[in-house]
Amino acid sequence: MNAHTPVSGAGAIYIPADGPDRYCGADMGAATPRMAEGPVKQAIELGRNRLLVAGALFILGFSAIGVRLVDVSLMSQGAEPRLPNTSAAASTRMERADIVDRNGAVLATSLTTASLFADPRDVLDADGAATLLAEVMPGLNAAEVALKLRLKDRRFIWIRRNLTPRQQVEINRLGIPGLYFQRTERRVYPHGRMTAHFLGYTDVDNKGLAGVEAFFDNDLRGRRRPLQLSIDLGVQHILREELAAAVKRHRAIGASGMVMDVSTGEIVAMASLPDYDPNQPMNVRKEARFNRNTLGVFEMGSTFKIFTTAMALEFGAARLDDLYDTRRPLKVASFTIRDYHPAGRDLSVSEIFVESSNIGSARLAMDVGVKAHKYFLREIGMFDRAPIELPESARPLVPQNWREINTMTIAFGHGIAVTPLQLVAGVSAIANGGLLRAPTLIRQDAGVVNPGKRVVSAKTSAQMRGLLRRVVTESTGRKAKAPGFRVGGKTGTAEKLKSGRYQHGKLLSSFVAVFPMDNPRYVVHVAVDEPKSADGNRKHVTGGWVAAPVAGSIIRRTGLKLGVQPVLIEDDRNKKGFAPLQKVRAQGGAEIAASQESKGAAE
Amino acid sequence: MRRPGIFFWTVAVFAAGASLFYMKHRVQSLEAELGKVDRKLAAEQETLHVLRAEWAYLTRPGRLVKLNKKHLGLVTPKPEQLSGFDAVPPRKAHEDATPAGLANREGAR
Repeated sequence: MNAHTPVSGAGAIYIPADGPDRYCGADMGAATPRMAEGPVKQAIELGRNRLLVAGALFILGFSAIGVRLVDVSLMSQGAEPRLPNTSAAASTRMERADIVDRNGAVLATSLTTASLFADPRDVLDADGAATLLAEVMPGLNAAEVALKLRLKDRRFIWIRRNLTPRQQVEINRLGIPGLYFQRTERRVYPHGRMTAHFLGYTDVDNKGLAGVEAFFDNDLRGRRRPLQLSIDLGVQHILREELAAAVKRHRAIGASGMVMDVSTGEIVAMASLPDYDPNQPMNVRKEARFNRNTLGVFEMGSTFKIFTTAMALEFGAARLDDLYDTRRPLKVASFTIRDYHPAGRDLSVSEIFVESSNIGSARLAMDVGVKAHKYFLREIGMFDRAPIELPESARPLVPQNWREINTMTIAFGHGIAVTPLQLVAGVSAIANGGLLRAPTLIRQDAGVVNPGKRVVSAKTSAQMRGLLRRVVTESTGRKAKAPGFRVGGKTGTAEKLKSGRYQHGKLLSSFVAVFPMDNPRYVVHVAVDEPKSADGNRKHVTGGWVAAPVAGSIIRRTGLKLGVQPVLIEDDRNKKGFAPLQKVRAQGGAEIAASQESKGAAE
Repeated sequence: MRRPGIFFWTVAVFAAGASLFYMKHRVQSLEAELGKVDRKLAAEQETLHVLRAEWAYLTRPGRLVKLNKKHLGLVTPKPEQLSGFDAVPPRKAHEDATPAGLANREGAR
């Protein structure tokens, strides 16, 4: 069987030898193995090559599929997520992030509720359904709902949003066809009125309409972690409580208050009265929605003397012991500038501030000059809207045509109207060593230092701290005393301007306090709008009588909470009911001695 | 030579088929279980969320003040109740203030 003799070499072809007619190519010649030649060989070559290429392609294709198969089935981190996971992630996520205070207490959150809608085409008996629904949900207008349910060309109508769980169960029990529930979210403010003005509120579609809710609307929709504010809920509660008590005591039309950290610009508490419940924001009077701290522009009165005096010291126009003539009222054109407590003698710069002399302040400002006065007030932020994370921040009212008389009246806080927030930011710059920092409602990280903008020198700031302290220890601010917390401050009493005229007896009485005075940490501002005398004495409606006690009370109650170490100094020690530290220790020692004695006796 | 091969592959095919069937079944049941746990988790998280809101409502400072008045009667500490570290007298050199030292002293007495 030589037919099986292998033929070596590329392109060789084997032709079997036996049976001349039985094999293809038998007619080609002798029955011995031989090489195919010529066109035949070429054709066979070509076929073979094609077969090889095709085979290779198929192998490649199949192995690609195989590899991918292993990849998809065994290495299961495919791009397509697994179904159960996605459903879990979607259901736990709220549409809108929470808002929390600086200690993490929840101020605003979203709760899941069910809302009822109808597909009018599926409703069989519109009137019957409406009557039944009205029974379950009091306040629902049956006639109106029946009308809506008859709109057969619509496929979706809201009937009532945010049902209570009980209502949902009862509606389910009614079994009316064509009614469906939709999972919706409702914004809830657990603290109600207390946090209303800075938080703001949202509409039924959870869109922020005021306050932080409006300012951070997009951010709150996107983020998963809660938004942390600089507000301290405990301080906020005390501030609001004290303001409410003052409004009641003085039958005032409103009040505002703020506590600001002077080294970071953080607003620790902010309240404005009257206020409203943000859980039901839609039927609220306009006055209640008004945030006096940021939207109200007021002529501040004597608290502005802080800026006048600081400016005079800073620009070297006067020194603390320079004397000014404050004997007679100052007449300029048709204006007469008078003092509330006329001194009848020359006063030094310190006395002008401590005794709150309008005449002296006006003269002081004139010595600085109109141009420098404007420059200084611009630098300290009195000409611009206060930068704060609220859509409600009003532009101050600054005279268009600023003449000498403007400088003279603005020296004691008349003729310019600013928001309490601007004043607080400016005063904290004067008190903290001279650095103006933008007020903020967002909690700042402890390690980050806000550099601020220098507006007065450290020396001027130190002098001003001394003067502010004296106002509380010996003058108009006495009622703001808080033992241990070294309070300083300045009173302000301004007649309110209405349609271009000052209204006699309608005052804005305010007090701006700083504490502790040796190393200021916080500024507290309190303003009471149109206070009436609480004790029958018609003069007792000034800042010193109305607002200073409120500020003092707030500081007494919050000082420790705010982390201020109380130091009992001489003038506080003489107060009634206070045992000096040494005495306490001495008593303790005596007790120990006594107990040892008794022990000795027992043995 | 051929028979064992065919036999081997037949067994292999059946084994693969059976194990695939078993695997698929297991995966399905596990996935159903996972879905159940995930739903439970979601429900728990929602409950937690509601409870957090309720906690915020129940710990309103105004309510705490009222409860304190009724049950505890705590008052704001007075400044004179607080003192700094500088008011603490310095420790005497020979005193052993560690717990062991104090225990020793108690024992000696």
